[in-house]
Amino acid sequence: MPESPISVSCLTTKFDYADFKAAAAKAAVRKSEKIILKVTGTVLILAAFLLKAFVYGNFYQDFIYAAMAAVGVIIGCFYDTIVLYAVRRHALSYFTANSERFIAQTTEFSEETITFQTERYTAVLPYEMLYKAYEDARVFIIYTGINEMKFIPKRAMNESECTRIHNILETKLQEKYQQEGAR
Amino acid sequence: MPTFYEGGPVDTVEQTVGPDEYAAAYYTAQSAVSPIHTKWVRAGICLSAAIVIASFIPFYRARFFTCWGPACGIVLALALAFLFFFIQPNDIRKWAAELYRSNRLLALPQKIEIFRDSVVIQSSCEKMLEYWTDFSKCIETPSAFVVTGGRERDLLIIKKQGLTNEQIEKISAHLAGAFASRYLKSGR
Repeated sequence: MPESPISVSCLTTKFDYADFKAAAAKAAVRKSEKIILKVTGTVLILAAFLLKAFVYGNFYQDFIYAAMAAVGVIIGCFYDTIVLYAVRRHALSYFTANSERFIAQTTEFSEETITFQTERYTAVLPYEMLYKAYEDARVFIIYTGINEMKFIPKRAMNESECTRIHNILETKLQEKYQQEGAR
Repeated sequence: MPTFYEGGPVDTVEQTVGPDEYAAAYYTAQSAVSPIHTKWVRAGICLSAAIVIASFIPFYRARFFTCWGPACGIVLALALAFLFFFIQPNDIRKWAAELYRSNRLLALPQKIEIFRDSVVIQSSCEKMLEYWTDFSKCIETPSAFVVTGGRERDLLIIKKQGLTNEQIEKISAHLAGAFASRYLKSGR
């Protein structure tokens, strides 16, 4: 017997929007880019230590080596944190300036289609029309295209609804479904 | 869908937007963001920089034996001018075609109802209402009306292909009135 559709209604808050933008930024970063950043950071730190140990330097050279090490630490360890902080800050200020753009939405997940509804937009999309979906600890993001997405904050649903949505998206989208840090 | 205006549509257009049309409209929208986004202005700035650097060569030669510094500057400025004028527009169009391919909703046949204050866009999968005040700009090109900055979808393309001259003039006059100073004509 088919399960009943899951309906999620919510009005986006500014923290929902910031969570969404942060999740979208995380989803946009490729694994190879993350690896390149880590390697670059490590190389900078190692180079700074090696130069300090084996190359005679005056005060200014020591300062450059210290700066190299600091940049290495920032790129290798704190890049994600800094970018996500900047994204969230930008999202919060955008929401404050454009709060009238965010209206209540209802999203319904059924076995074959996903339905989005606001007072100005209605869409009934078969899952195969979606570009991809992404889930993190706070939101589900449904991509209809590379640069076009809808999001559903997890705070608007209970634990069992969250699990069912996760299962539906994972089953229907398969390799087009990404998950990170899901609860 | 609720709208404050109870009158009928100014015009109704039925169309299917293809990848090339979408890419052209996307490029038009990008170029209309500001004058600095047009290839002419960017390449012009680089060529001006090359000319300014070249004019300093006599001054430079009076102090140094070689002209490698300004020569490198000129080559770099010319290379950037070439990049902005010939390569970047193609890259933007390629990116737009990729955006189009990724979004299957864009390829669906759509019916666009143009109202006094708003537009209703309908396809087999979705229906959206956007007010003209939601959009940031309208650019009329020889082949389409490109409306940018929508809430639900950034780009609204109304193709002129298949429309009568009378329809085109009617829509043009209507959008010019609705967008006022945000209405631009390009390619004419």
